Amino acid sequence: MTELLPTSDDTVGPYFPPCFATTGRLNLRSPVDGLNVSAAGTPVRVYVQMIDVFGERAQGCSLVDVWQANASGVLRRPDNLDSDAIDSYFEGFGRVVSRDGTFEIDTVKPGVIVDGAVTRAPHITLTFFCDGFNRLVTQFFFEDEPLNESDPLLRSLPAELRPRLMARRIADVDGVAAYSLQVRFRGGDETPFFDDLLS
Amino acid sequence: MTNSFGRKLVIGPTDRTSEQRTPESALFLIPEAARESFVPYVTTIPIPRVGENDLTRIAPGRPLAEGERIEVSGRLLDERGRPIRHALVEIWNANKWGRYTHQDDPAVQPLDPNFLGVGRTLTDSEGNYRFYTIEPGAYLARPDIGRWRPKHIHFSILGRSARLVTQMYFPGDQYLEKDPSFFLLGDAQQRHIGIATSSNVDGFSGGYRFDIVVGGRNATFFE
Repeated sequence: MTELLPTSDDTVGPYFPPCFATTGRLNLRSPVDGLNVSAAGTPVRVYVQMIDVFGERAQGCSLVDVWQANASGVLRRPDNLDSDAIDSYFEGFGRVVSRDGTFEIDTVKPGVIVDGAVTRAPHITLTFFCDGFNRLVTQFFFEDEPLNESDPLLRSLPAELRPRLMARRIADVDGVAAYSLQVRFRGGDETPFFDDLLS
Repeated sequence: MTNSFGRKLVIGPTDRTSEQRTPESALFLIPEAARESFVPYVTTIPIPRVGENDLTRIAPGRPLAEGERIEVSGRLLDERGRPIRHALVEIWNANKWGRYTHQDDPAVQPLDPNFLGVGRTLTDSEGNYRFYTIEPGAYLARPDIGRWRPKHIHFSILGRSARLVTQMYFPGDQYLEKDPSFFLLGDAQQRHIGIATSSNVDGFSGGYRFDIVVGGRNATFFE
């Protein structure tokens, strides 16, 4: 079978049109504005800061894809779209544009994913498309979650790097549990980023 | 913990933001047990407005933007040559003078009141997409060292498990050679240059064909 050569990633640059996505705060919890529907689960808000080599906010950083399981720990897949475990009001995916190096995610806390012998602690996948690089992918966790100890991704990292993927619990905002996450692209306390699935 | 590492990302030469944001550390490998949740599967994508694939005017019936009108089309395929159907294709490009409409573009080149420079469409059931736009100008990205960005159109692909952000460049562009983004494409450079074609649309000087293959490092385990 002939395989076609793939098109490569290239940088999104600084001018991704904000009108193509949400700017600043992504709402995965009640995605359809004005309708009386929302995802099941515990509401959380996560404040994310993207930091450059100088420790400054990465300005003009374009686009972040957010992806997570629903409150029952189920990710949408081609083969489970009509399953009872899918929350019809929860897509689990969104795109957010940041101009000042920060953004917020309003969502429900992702559930524990159990797949055969594998148990994943609650986590959210972030894919960064940013002026200066093509694509960086990581997952973050919630610091107050006991299952972090046994998560296979966290355990694959040197122990001293694991805290860098933890969202820290901060004071509630509007009655919602709030967390803060710092993503450092380069330099001291650099966030661990992950390679693609081919490697 | 694992002892092997993934790729070490390379800094684009003379690209300051690349120097400030490219991780120093090599990427970490994803353990087998953690792979599944890394791949988004997107079932809701926005519906483009009528005329949103035509960047040569702001809306149907409105005046034309300045510059060379070009047709940019191609197919969206996976590595086995199967069409990626009904996926969202978004493009954005500078106007004929090399100016983006984005509010962060510091360029002094004029804006064109008839050009927004942003467009969207969905691929059809064969994976085809088609845009009409204005051939973008090259622009001086680093006045301090005299480095220009070659003419290019940005692309974003989104749909189910396909996700790609890339750029199409133009054949024969004198600025390609020193462009940090183009440099980083390495062996893939030729695949990122649009192929000049004729256009049978009135008023169009021609077009470019840019087939996009989502695969390789962007392939997903669903396929």
